[in-house]
Amino acid sequence: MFLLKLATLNIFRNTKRSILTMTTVFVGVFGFIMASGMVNGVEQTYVRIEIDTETAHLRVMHKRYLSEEENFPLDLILPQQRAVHSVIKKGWPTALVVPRIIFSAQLGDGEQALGARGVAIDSALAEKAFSLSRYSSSKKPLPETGKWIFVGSIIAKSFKKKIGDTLTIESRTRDGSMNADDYQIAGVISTGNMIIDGGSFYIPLKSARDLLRMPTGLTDVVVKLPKKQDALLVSTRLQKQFGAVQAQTWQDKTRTIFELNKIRRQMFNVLISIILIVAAAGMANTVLMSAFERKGEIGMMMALGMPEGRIVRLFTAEAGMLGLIGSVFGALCGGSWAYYLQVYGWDISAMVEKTYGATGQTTGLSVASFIFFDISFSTILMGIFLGVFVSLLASLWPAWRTTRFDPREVLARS
Amino acid sequence: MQLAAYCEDVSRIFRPGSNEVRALDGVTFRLHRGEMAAVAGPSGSGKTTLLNMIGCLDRPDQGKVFLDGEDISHKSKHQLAQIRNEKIGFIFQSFHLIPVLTVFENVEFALQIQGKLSVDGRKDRVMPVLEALGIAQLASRKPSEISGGQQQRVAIARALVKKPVLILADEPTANLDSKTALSIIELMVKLHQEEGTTFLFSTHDPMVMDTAPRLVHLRDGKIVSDSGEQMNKNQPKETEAGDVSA
Repeated sequence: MFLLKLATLNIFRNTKRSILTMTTVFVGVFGFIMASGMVNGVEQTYVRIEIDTETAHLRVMHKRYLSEEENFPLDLILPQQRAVHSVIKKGWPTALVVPRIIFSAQLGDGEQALGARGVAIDSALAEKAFSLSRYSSSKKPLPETGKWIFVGSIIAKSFKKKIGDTLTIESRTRDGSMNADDYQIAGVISTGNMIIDGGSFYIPLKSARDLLRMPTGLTDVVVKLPKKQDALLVSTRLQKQFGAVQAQTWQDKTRTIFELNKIRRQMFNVLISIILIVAAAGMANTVLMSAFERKGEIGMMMALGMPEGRIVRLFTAEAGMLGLIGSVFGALCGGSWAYYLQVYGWDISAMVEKTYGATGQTTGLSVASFIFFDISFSTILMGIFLGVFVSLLASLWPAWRTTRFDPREVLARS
Repeated sequence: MQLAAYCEDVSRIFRPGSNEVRALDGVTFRLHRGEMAAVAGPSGSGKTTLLNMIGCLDRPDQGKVFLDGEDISHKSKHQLAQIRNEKIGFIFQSFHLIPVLTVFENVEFALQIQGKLSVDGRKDRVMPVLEALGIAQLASRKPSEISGGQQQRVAIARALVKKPVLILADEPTANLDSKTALSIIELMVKLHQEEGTTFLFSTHDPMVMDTAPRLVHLRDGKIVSDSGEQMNKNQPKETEAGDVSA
């Protein structure tokens, strides 16, 4: 206790130097927490928006559909649709199976036109699976029949349209001819997924069948399971049972993000390591300078018979205190900011627009306009531990160096 | 009378570069318990080396050093530290107080190192010493808030508090003005006379030499005069390293 008290008092002997040293630890811990929060958050955000707004846990389609998806083929319909449905329902009775037709269309208002992706859905099931109404400005579900449209917020903004206004949907039908119809905006949706907000619209399945002259058939069904971990099991079962069917799980869809994130995580690790090495060098320098400034005092302690181990402990305790204070401040600031970004998100829409364009459609992946950080208490504790550990480690050599002082010499010189 | 320290034909040779300097050259010296002696001599005469030898901070190249009857000539660094911890009090020229601690804590520090007493036990030991030295009212002050003389009193208290066999003081008045230096020496003499504390200090201050009950003169590593020589000569040979009274 006494050593700790003395160590605490000693760190305020040269306040400026102590603050500088603590700052390097602060930066390291702050950076570690923010980077961890961001990297984990990217993964979580992408998984969430993919599941909540696009493919649910599983997407089932014709086995050739994925390779031709860019062309929005209406002739590659899901084979054995009813059988697929019953296999899923048999294994997972509470699963939601949402039928869809994905098609390419042009939205227009007489003055301008914009290419977009149309999603024709069974409104009631989609509402259960995705709760689309919570993303809609109207907060109401998409009507099941009639010519109503839910349009992405960025599209609505570029047309300067609001609820109640009309947009014309022009699309190629299944037989290859062109068809168009007017749809009234029932809601402007803002999901945080740039593919939807910037380039998609939803219409009721029944009205889409008229528009696309497609009385039967679906391009895919999306499945929401009671447990998302079951997606792979369902996928395997379906593909085994139906040769012409392909299933894409949420893990398949977000794999690229996880792969990219691995690289991002490694880069952050290198960066944080560099910061921590700088902090360690600063800490070692501080302890060494402090020891040389207090040579006489160390000589006195040695003369009084203080064991070498306790002198080492005194200096490592000082480094530990500096590390602890820097780490706690770093954890407080990093943790608070990361938590804020976990709750409110980090708006990256401008960055995404710059990279992918306003619709975010140049990639097959969902693109988030907000990154929600994912920070846990254990990450914060890990940051503090890392800061203190590096500080203690860095102080060991200079602390041991003090015990090499010859008390005769240091007492004579001071 | 029991011996506090005894040096038997002690030599200490330093070799800076190709030279050889005999800091102590065949010194035989006895200091009895309750005795107060000053070691005087010009710079380089070996005063500090003699004190370091008795204070377990150095080991002889030749001869033997006994402290409180124990041969310390061949003890390890760790063992010497333990002996210093238990048996020796040091007073330094530059006081070497810890600036971030209060007067009380600086004195308590010596007991903290020993680690033998409880908080209350340490308090019971420190306060009477501070009172005896007339600095009890400064207990909560920091060293920077008191004068040089008061700081040296704190250093004396730190040396006294663990009730050592011997207190070594290397030029304890060198950093003090003559008036303060005199008061410090008088205090040490008083402690010696009233408490029976054993003191060995080095000095080249004539005023301090006049006050010391026993004066040992060193030159070129040899004792050239010792006012306590007669008393030492009267000691029977077999008690030199030991603990039986004359």
